[in-house]
Amino acid sequence: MRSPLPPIGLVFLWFGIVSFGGGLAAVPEMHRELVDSRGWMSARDFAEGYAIGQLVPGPNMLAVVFFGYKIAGVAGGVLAITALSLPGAVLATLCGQAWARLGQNVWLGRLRRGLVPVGFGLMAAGAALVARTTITQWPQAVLALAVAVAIYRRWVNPAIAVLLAGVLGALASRLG
Amino acid sequence: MVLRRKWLDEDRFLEAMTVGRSLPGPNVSNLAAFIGALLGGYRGAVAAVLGIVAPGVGLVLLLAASYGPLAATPGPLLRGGLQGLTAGVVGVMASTVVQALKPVARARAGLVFAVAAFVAAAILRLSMMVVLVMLVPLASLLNRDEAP
Repeated sequence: MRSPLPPIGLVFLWFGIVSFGGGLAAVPEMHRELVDSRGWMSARDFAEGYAIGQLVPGPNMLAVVFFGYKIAGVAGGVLAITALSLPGAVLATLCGQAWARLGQNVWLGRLRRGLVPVGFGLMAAGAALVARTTITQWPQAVLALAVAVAIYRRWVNPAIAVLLAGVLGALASRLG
Repeated sequence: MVLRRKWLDEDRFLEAMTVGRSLPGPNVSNLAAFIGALLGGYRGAVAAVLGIVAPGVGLVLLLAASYGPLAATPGPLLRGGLQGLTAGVVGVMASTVVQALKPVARARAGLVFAVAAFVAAAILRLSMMVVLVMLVPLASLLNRDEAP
Protein backbone atom coordinates (compact mmCIF):
# COMPACT_ATOMS: atom_id res chain seq x y z
CA MET A 1 0.00 0.00 0.00
CA ARG A 2 1.21 3.47 -0.79
CA SER A 3 1.91 5.74 2.14
CA PRO A 4 -1.21 7.74 3.00
CA LEU A 5 0.89 10.61 4.35
CA PRO A 6 1.11 12.80 1.22
CA PRO A 7 -2.68 12.82 0.63
CA ILE A 8 -3.23 13.45 4.36
CA GLY A 9 -0.92 16.44 4.17
CA LEU A 10 -2.71 17.87 1.14
CA VAL A 11 -6.21 17.30 2.50
CA PHE A 12 -5.46 18.96 5.83
CA LEU A 13 -3.62 21.82 4.15
CA TRP A 14 -6.86 22.42 2.24
CA PHE A 15 -8.84 22.28 5.50
CA GLY A 16 -6.40 24.84 6.88
CA ILE A 17 -7.21 27.20 4.05
CA VAL A 18 -10.99 26.90 4.30
CA SER A 19 -11.40 26.69 8.07
CA PHE A 20 -12.08 30.29 8.91
CA GLY A 21 -14.26 31.43 11.80
CA GLY A 22 -13.15 28.96 14.42
CA GLY A 23 -13.21 25.82 12.34
CA LEU A 24 -16.81 24.78 12.81
CA ALA A 25 -17.57 26.06 9.32
CA ALA A 26 -15.09 23.55 7.88
CA VAL A 27 -16.70 20.54 9.59
CA PRO A 28 -18.98 19.70 6.63
CA GLU A 29 -15.97 19.76 4.30
CA MET A 30 -13.94 17.56 6.65
CA HIS A 31 -16.86 15.15 6.97
CA ARG A 32 -17.26 15.04 3.20
CA GLU A 33 -13.59 14.35 2.54
CA LEU A 34 -12.72 12.05 5.44
CA VAL A 35 -15.94 10.05 5.73
CA ASP A 36 -18.01 10.30 2.54
CA SER A 37 -15.51 10.56 -0.28
CA ARG A 38 -12.26 8.98 0.98
CA GLY A 39 -13.74 6.58 3.52
CA TRP A 40 -10.79 7.11 5.88
CA MET A 41 -13.07 6.75 8.91
CA SER A 42 -16.68 6.10 9.92
CA ALA A 43 -19.16 8.86 10.71
CA ARG A 44 -19.05 7.70 14.35
CA ASP A 45 -15.25 7.95 14.54
CA PHE A 46 -15.55 11.43 13.06
CA ALA A 47 -18.13 12.60 15.60
CA GLU A 48 -16.33 11.05 18.58
CA GLY A 49 -12.98 12.36 17.40
CA TYR A 50 -14.50 15.80 17.11
CA ALA A 51 -15.82 15.49 20.69
CA ILE A 52 -12.41 14.41 22.01
CA GLY A 53 -10.77 17.35 20.26
CA GLN A 54 -13.17 19.75 21.97
CA LEU A 55 -12.38 18.34 25.40
CA VAL A 56 -8.69 19.04 25.34
CA PRO A 57 -7.45 22.53 26.19
CA GLY A 58 -5.48 24.22 23.42
CA PRO A 59 -6.33 25.32 19.90
CA ASN A 60 -9.96 24.85 18.93
CA MET A 61 -9.27 22.34 16.17
CA LEU A 62 -7.29 19.63 17.89
CA ALA A 63 -9.79 17.06 16.61
CA VAL A 64 -7.71 16.89 13.41
CA VAL A 65 -4.91 15.28 15.44
CA PHE A 66 -7.37 12.50 16.22
CA PHE A 67 -8.42 12.25 12.58
CA GLY A 68 -4.81 12.07 11.38
CA TYR A 69 -4.00 9.47 14.03
CA LYS A 70 -6.99 7.40 12.98
CA ILE A 71 -5.75 7.35 9.38
CA ALA A 72 -2.01 6.91 9.84
CA GLY A 73 -0.95 6.76 13.50
CA VAL A 74 1.17 9.32 15.33
CA ALA A 75 2.81 10.63 12.15
CA GLY A 76 -0.64 11.18 10.65
CA GLY A 77 -1.80 13.10 13.72
CA VAL A 78 1.23 15.38 13.81
CA LEU A 79 1.07 15.94 10.06
CA ALA A 80 -2.65 16.76 10.20
CA ILE A 81 -2.31 19.57 12.76
CA THR A 82 0.85 20.91 11.11
CA ALA A 83 -0.77 21.09 7.67
CA LEU A 84 -3.94 22.57 9.12
CA SER A 85 -2.15 25.33 11.02
CA LEU A 86 0.30 26.23 8.29
CA PRO A 87 -1.76 28.48 5.97
CA GLY A 88 -3.18 30.61 8.79
CA ALA A 89 0.13 30.81 10.62
CA VAL A 90 2.00 31.94 7.52
CA LEU A 91 -0.67 34.55 6.77
CA ALA A 92 -0.68 35.71 10.39
CA THR A 93 3.10 36.06 10.36
CA LEU A 94 2.90 38.15 7.21
CA CYS A 95 0.05 40.22 8.62
CA GLY A 96 2.17 40.89 11.69
CA GLN A 97 4.16 43.15 9.39
CA ALA A 98 1.52 44.67 7.08
CA TRP A 99 -1.50 44.92 9.35
CA ALA A 100 -1.89 48.69 9.48
CA ARG A 101 -2.40 48.91 5.72
CA LEU A 102 -4.56 45.79 5.40
CA GLY A 103 -7.00 46.93 8.08
CA GLN A 104 -8.20 49.77 5.88
CA ASN A 105 -8.64 47.68 2.75
CA VAL A 106 -12.18 48.03 1.38
CA TRP A 107 -12.18 44.71 -0.46
CA LEU A 108 -11.19 42.76 2.62
CA GLY A 109 -14.08 44.33 4.49
CA ARG A 110 -16.50 43.38 1.75
CA LEU A 111 -15.18 39.84 1.61
CA ARG A 112 -15.57 39.50 5.36
CA ARG A 113 -19.14 40.79 5.28
CA GLY A 114 -19.94 38.32 2.51
CA LEU A 115 -18.40 35.46 4.46
CA VAL A 116 -20.50 36.08 7.57
CA PRO A 117 -23.83 34.56 6.41
CA VAL A 118 -22.24 31.82 4.30
CA GLY A 119 -19.91 30.82 7.12
CA PHE A 120 -22.88 30.73 9.46
CA GLY A 121 -24.75 28.31 7.19
CA LEU A 122 -21.67 26.09 7.01
CA MET A 123 -21.32 26.12 10.80
CA ALA A 124 -24.94 25.09 11.21
CA ALA A 125 -24.35 22.31 8.67
CA GLY A 126 -21.34 21.11 10.67
CA ALA A 127 -23.38 20.98 13.86
CA ALA A 128 -26.19 19.12 12.06
CA LEU A 129 -23.81 16.52 10.59
CA VAL A 130 -22.22 15.74 13.96
CA ALA A 131 -25.63 15.74 15.71
CA ARG A 132 -27.05 13.31 13.17
CA THR A 133 -24.47 10.61 13.95
CA THR A 134 -24.25 11.13 17.69
CA ILE A 135 -27.74 11.93 18.93
CA THR A 136 -29.48 8.57 18.78
CA GLN A 137 -31.73 8.67 21.85
CA TRP A 138 -33.97 11.37 23.21
CA PRO A 139 -32.13 11.80 26.57
CA GLN A 140 -29.08 12.80 24.53
CA ALA A 141 -31.11 15.41 22.69
CA VAL A 142 -32.33 16.81 26.01
CA LEU A 143 -28.77 16.85 27.35
CA ALA A 144 -27.49 18.62 24.23
CA LEU A 145 -30.22 21.22 24.49
CA ALA A 146 -29.50 21.77 28.20
CA VAL A 147 -25.79 22.23 27.48
CA ALA A 148 -26.56 24.67 24.65
CA VAL A 149 -28.81 26.80 26.87
CA ALA A 150 -26.38 26.70 29.81
CA ILE A 151 -23.50 27.91 27.66
CA TYR A 152 -25.55 30.48 25.81
CA ARG A 153 -26.70 31.95 29.11
CA ARG A 154 -23.10 31.81 30.35
CA TRP A 155 -24.00 29.72 33.38
CA VAL A 156 -21.03 27.43 32.78
CA ASN A 157 -17.83 27.32 30.82
CA PRO A 158 -18.18 25.09 27.68
CA ALA A 159 -15.39 22.67 28.65
CA ILE A 160 -16.94 22.07 32.07
CA ALA A 161 -20.40 21.64 30.54
CA VAL A 162 -19.09 18.97 28.15
CA LEU A 163 -17.29 17.13 30.95
CA LEU A 164 -20.43 17.23 33.11
CA ALA A 165 -22.44 15.87 30.18
CA GLY A 166 -19.98 12.97 29.94
CA VAL A 167 -20.27 12.23 33.67
CA LEU A 168 -24.07 12.37 33.41
CA GLY A 169 -23.98 9.97 30.48
CA ALA A 170 -21.81 7.52 32.41
CA LEU A 171 -24.08 7.76 35.48
CA ALA A 172 -27.16 7.25 33.34
CA SER A 173 -25.66 4.07 31.86
CA ARG A 174 -25.20 2.80 35.44
CA LEU A 175 -28.85 3.38 36.24
CA GLY A 176 -30.39 2.28 32.96
CA MET B 1 0.97 38.41 28.39
CA VAL B 2 -0.50 41.90 28.19
CA LEU B 3 -0.86 42.45 31.90
CA ARG B 4 2.08 40.62 33.40
CA ARG B 5 4.89 40.76 30.89
CA LYS B 6 3.90 43.95 29.13
CA TRP B 7 5.01 42.48 25.81
CA LEU B 8 2.03 44.07 24.10
CA ASP B 9 -0.40 46.88 24.75
CA GLU B 10 -4.15 46.27 24.93
CA ASP B 11 -4.89 47.59 21.44
CA ARG B 12 -2.23 45.49 19.82
CA PHE B 13 -3.62 42.42 21.56
CA LEU B 14 -7.19 43.08 20.38
CA GLU B 15 -5.88 43.62 16.86
CA ALA B 16 -4.07 40.31 17.06
CA MET B 17 -7.25 38.58 18.22
CA THR B 18 -9.11 39.92 15.19
CA VAL B 19 -6.38 38.78 12.84
CA GLY B 20 -6.31 35.36 14.48
CA ARG B 21 -10.02 34.99 13.99
CA SER B 22 -10.35 36.27 10.47
CA LEU B 23 -7.56 34.17 9.02
CA PRO B 24 -8.25 30.54 8.26
CA GLY B 25 -6.97 27.87 10.62
CA PRO B 26 -7.04 27.48 14.39
CA ASN B 27 -7.64 30.89 16.01
CA VAL B 28 -5.21 30.41 18.83
CA SER B 29 -2.28 29.32 16.72
CA ASN B 30 -2.89 32.23 14.34
CA LEU B 31 -2.93 34.57 17.32
CA ALA B 32 0.29 33.02 18.56
CA ALA B 33 1.94 33.36 15.14
CA PHE B 34 0.91 37.00 14.85
CA ILE B 35 2.19 37.93 18.30
CA GLY B 36 5.31 35.82 17.87
CA ALA B 37 6.02 37.63 14.61
CA LEU B 38 5.53 41.03 16.22
CA LEU B 39 7.92 40.14 19.02
CA GLY B 40 10.58 38.09 17.32
CA GLY B 41 10.14 37.87 13.56
CA TYR B 42 9.45 34.55 11.91
CA ARG B 43 11.44 32.63 14.52
CA GLY B 44 9.22 34.16 17.16
CA ALA B 45 6.17 33.01 15.23
CA VAL B 46 7.40 29.42 14.96
CA ALA B 47 8.28 29.26 18.66
CA ALA B 48 4.92 30.71 19.69
CA VAL B 49 2.89 28.30 17.55
CA LEU B 50 4.83 25.24 18.72
CA GLY B 51 4.49 26.33 22.33
CA ILE B 52 0.75 26.75 22.16
CA VAL B 53 -0.05 23.68 20.04
CA ALA B 54 2.32 20.99 21.33
CA PRO B 55 0.73 20.20 24.72
CA GLY B 56 -2.74 19.72 23.25
CA VAL B 57 -1.40 17.62 20.39
CA GLY B 58 0.35 15.30 22.84
CA LEU B 59 -2.80 14.94 24.89
CA VAL B 60 -5.05 14.19 21.91
CA LEU B 61 -2.55 11.61 20.59
CA LEU B 62 -2.65 9.95 24.00
CA LEU B 63 -6.45 9.95 24.03
CA ALA B 64 -6.63 8.73 20.44
CA ALA B 65 -4.23 5.88 21.21
CA SER B 66 -6.26 4.77 24.22
CA TYR B 67 -9.57 5.32 22.44
CA GLY B 68 -9.00 2.60 19.83
CA PRO B 69 -8.74 -0.42 22.16
CA LEU B 70 -11.33 1.00 24.56
CA ALA B 71 -13.90 1.69 21.86
CA ALA B 72 -13.42 -1.79 20.41
CA THR B 73 -14.72 -3.37 23.61
CA PRO B 74 -16.75 -0.58 25.17
CA GLY B 75 -17.99 -1.11 28.71
CA PRO B 76 -21.42 0.35 29.36
CA LEU B 77 -19.86 3.04 31.51
CA LEU B 78 -17.55 4.24 28.75
CA ARG B 79 -20.32 4.01 26.14
CA GLY B 80 -22.59 6.12 28.35
CA GLY B 81 -19.79 8.59 29.04
CA LEU B 82 -19.04 8.97 25.34
CA GLN B 83 -22.72 9.41 24.53
CA GLY B 84 -22.91 12.13 27.18
CA LEU B 85 -19.73 13.79 25.90
CA THR B 86 -20.85 13.85 22.29
CA ALA B 87 -24.26 15.17 23.30
CA GLY B 88 -22.47 17.91 25.24
CA VAL B 89 -20.32 18.77 22.24
CA VAL B 90 -23.41 19.01 20.04
CA GLY B 91 -24.80 21.40 22.66
CA VAL B 92 -21.64 23.52 22.44
CA MET B 93 -21.88 23.57 18.64
CA ALA B 94 -25.53 24.60 18.83
CA SER B 95 -24.80 27.49 21.19
CA THR B 96 -21.90 28.61 18.98
CA VAL B 97 -24.26 28.67 16.02
CA VAL B 98 -26.93 30.61 17.91
CA GLN B 99 -24.36 33.13 19.14
CA ALA B 100 -23.26 33.76 15.57
CA LEU B 101 -26.79 34.50 14.42
CA LYS B 102 -26.92 38.22 15.20
CA PRO B 103 -24.54 39.58 12.53
CA VAL B 104 -26.15 37.20 10.02
CA ALA B 105 -29.60 38.61 10.69
CA ARG B 106 -28.19 42.13 10.19
CA ALA B 107 -26.59 41.38 6.83
CA ARG B 108 -28.61 41.90 3.66
CA ALA B 109 -30.27 38.64 2.66
CA GLY B 110 -28.17 37.10 5.43
CA LEU B 111 -30.64 34.37 6.27
CA VAL B 112 -31.10 33.45 2.60
CA PHE B 113 -27.36 32.92 2.18
CA ALA B 114 -27.16 31.05 5.48
CA VAL B 115 -29.95 28.64 4.48
CA ALA B 116 -28.45 28.18 1.02
CA ALA B 117 -25.03 27.35 2.50
CA PHE B 118 -26.63 24.97 5.02
CA VAL B 119 -28.57 23.07 2.36
CA ALA B 120 -25.56 22.91 0.05
CA ALA B 121 -23.22 21.57 2.73
CA ALA B 122 -25.44 19.40 4.95
CA ILE B 123 -27.96 18.00 2.48
CA LEU B 124 -26.44 18.23 -1.01
CA ARG B 125 -22.95 17.59 0.45
CA LEU B 126 -21.35 19.90 -2.06
CA SER B 127 -17.67 20.66 -1.76
CA MET B 128 -16.91 23.73 0.30
CA MET B 129 -15.06 25.28 -2.61
CA VAL B 130 -18.25 25.14 -4.69
CA VAL B 131 -20.33 26.60 -1.85
CA LEU B 132 -17.91 29.47 -1.27
CA VAL B 133 -17.45 30.31 -4.94
CA MET B 134 -21.20 30.30 -5.56
CA LEU B 135 -22.32 32.26 -2.52
CA VAL B 136 -19.58 34.50 -1.13
CA PRO B 137 -19.19 36.84 -4.14
CA LEU B 138 -22.94 37.41 -4.27
CA ALA B 139 -23.19 37.95 -0.52
CA SER B 140 -20.20 40.34 -0.67
CA LEU B 141 -21.80 42.25 -3.51
CA LEU B 142 -25.07 42.70 -1.65
CA ASN B 143 -23.18 43.73 1.51
CA ARG B 144 -20.54 45.89 -0.14
CA ASP B 145 -21.43 48.80 2.13
CA GLU B 146 -21.51 48.57 5.90
CA ALA B 147 -24.83 47.14 7.09
CA PRO B 148 -27.38 49.83 8.02
